[in-house]
Amino acid sequence: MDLDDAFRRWNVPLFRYLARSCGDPVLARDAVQETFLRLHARRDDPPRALRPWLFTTAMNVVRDTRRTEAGRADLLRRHADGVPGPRAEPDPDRELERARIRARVRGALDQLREKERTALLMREEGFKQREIADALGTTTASVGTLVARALDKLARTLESPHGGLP
Amino acid sequence: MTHATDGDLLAWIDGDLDPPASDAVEAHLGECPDCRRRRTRLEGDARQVREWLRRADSPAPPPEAYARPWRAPAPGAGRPARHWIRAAAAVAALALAVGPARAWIARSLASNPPAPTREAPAPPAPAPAQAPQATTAFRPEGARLTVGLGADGDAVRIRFEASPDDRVQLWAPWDDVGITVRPDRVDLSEVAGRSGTLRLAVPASIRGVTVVTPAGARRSVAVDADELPRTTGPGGGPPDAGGR
Ligand SMILES: [Zn+2]
Repeated sequence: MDLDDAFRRWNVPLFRYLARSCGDPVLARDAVQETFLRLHARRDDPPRALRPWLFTTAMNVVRDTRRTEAGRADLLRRHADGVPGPRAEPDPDRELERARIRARVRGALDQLREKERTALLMREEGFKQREIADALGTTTASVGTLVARALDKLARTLESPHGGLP
Repeated sequence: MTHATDGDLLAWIDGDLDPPASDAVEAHLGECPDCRRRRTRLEGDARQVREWLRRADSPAPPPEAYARPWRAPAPGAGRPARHWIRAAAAVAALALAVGPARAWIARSLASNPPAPTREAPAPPAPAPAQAPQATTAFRPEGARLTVGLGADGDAVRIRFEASPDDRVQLWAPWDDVGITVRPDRVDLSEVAGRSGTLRLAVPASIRGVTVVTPAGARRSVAVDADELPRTTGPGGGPPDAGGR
């Protein structure tokens, strides 16, 4: 297994999935880092199915971090409109608009049950229903129900004029 | 067939069905206006939700924001700066030591710290300990520490909670940055704009290591217990140890 190859291929989708899932880009970045270090640590015994392993491991990292650092995660989330990066938004109006959209989508995602959110976001990353079922420990049939319900809730919330905002 | 389930319809939309199942759903859709309506609705919802998610996505960090120890050259490769540090008595850790860790990442509390107030007296020295800073602390337990520096940190301090005579070896991938070695710490300056991996080999007797970077610097710290040639504690480093 070529670790650098795996990193190049999956760091962005993994980050996107985690940031959507937990709403905290800093935590998402750290979890991506941790996940690849764990992969590095077991490079002589690589997981058979890399992508499901990466996503499942990363989600566990997020969950464990949250559990041990609940207060801190909250603090972080408040500051976490984006991981500091090279591309700062130069236009304050656009930045404000982005923040508004982010808050709105966040609010809508937070209304979902965890399984609904996970099923929906895994589907967005192109996982098959079978793989989602494995990750959630449920049946393929119920994955369809979960995703459909999540889509319905999200679409309704985001459509409504005050959607996603408290 | 009876009505298609939401799962059937989604799988059909996603091309996630084998051909016979797909044909069955398609045949049913041809004759069932109810299921056609549900399909249209699901497709519309899915499209709309996907668009919202994309608009709300945070930009992904660049690759340099990550420590990538698998890319690091072997110790001693290239022209690394190498230093032996004789640690003095224990220093107070700047942050609670977290560990032991086989592979552990600093939570990047550094991302958005409060800005220093303008009224505050100017710090006496530009050392990172005086500036708004972020700390990462852990118990290394003989592990190798890998510090991936982001592009915008310009000074890094690494402090050791160590006993006298503990020996620490440091590899830096650059030979033109400022490196100051003190009994209990090492300071690196002029590292702005660089990314790379600093590596330390520390004896198991060292109780803690704290990495201090300027607030806002993107950095990540990882501990990798694999591959580490353990140093042998007081007096017993590898024979090729460069002194300083
Ligand atoms: Zn029908």
